[in-house]
Amino acid sequence: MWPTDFPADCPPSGASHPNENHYQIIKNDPPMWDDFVSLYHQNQILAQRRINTGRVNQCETMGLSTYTDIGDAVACFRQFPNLGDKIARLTLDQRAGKVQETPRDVGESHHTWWMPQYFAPTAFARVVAYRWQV
Amino acid sequence: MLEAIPGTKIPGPPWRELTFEHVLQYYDGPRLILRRSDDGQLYLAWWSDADQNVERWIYLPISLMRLCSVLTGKTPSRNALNSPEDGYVLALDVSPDTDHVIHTVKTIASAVPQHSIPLPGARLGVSGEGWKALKARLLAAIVQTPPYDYHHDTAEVSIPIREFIHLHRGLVSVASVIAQQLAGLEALGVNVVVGGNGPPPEVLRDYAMVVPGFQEVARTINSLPETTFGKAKISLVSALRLIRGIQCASEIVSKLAVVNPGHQVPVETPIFAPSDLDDWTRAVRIIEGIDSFIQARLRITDMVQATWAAADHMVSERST
Repeated sequence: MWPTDFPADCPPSGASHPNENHYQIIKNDPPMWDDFVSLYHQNQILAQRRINTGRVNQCETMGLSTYTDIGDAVACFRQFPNLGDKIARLTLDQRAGKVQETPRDVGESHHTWWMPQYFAPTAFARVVAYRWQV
Repeated sequence: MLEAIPGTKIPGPPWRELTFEHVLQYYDGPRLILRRSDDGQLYLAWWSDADQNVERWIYLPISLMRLCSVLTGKTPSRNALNSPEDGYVLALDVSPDTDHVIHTVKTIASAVPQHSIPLPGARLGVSGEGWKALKARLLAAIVQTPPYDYHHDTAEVSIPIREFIHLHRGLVSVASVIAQQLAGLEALGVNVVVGGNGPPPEVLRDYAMVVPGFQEVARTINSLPETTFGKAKISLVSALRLIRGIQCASEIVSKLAVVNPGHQVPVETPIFAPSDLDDWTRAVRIIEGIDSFIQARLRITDMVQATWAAADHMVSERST
């Protein structure tokens, strides 16, 4: 069951259940709840602004960014140090909701992940890299 | 509250509007954006930091060739920020509520908290098919808006040399960018199609490639005392012929007529006071200088071609 504020067409029809490891930039070890809060739920005003400028749609702001290639995750947290200084491996299965490939010019393995209501992501995440290591 | 950044606080960003935006990297929001201002300047903008009140971005004014070097990973991001072509970066604090820029600071990257810019050695790395698609998008962005606000008939009329130089001087802040952009397009074998009533593409290209040279001319002219030389005219067509090598400088000079300033002269005839031999000499010197810019133009084209080739090579190497 999706969170009640998800729009009707969210996640999009192209999304599917995850079947591989994903990597996410986080700030806590062990991972904590606040490492897995979408932009929309973190800062609705900012999310709305980005929606208004056409940079993203509402559904995207309700998902979380992940990479399937750890190299992309490392490159990202080296490029934007304030995003976080750790990388967590997410071992996701169909209970975790849905993911969709959303590649970018920089970060081709970028995915968007929509978590169902009552899903506990911290149980599926483990820190595998620290910035000082790379 | 975000740490204040030392530098020169300016009233606002140096553009009227941004006419192009492309999100290059997204991670829970846009993080790296390529933007283009209405005067043709490209900016690569890194997300830097945020709190509840502001989102901070670092804007790097950048030429197309440098951009390619950064995007393909040849130049690490921090190196590009630490040695900006225009000598500065902009730190913009933007309100999340209104999208308005609250603070603009003209600064240098070393003044920005070091944890708020890319780590040393961190490189972007657009690869394979992504690079091809992005290159096409960049080309589209460059051609999208004519970088010159010229009218078609400008090329048909004579204008004072000083004004001619000022025409270029008005573009100084983006001159090198435009020159490289257009030369870059040529190196790619792309015909520059500029919409609207602009001059023919080959004219634009020729102009752009010698802009750095004209900056030198502008400096020379501006260092001269205010004399009748200021009234000297050279037709834009003649100037272009010079620049393009269709007509050599000495030929143009030999056609310069010394006439009574009060006399009604044909459009292409420059006006000199007969006694102003010094000005004449200066004019000759300057026009001879233009000849050397033709050579400079050829060097720029070679350099641009080499840079594009190097960028392509880098991408293909990474792909294999």
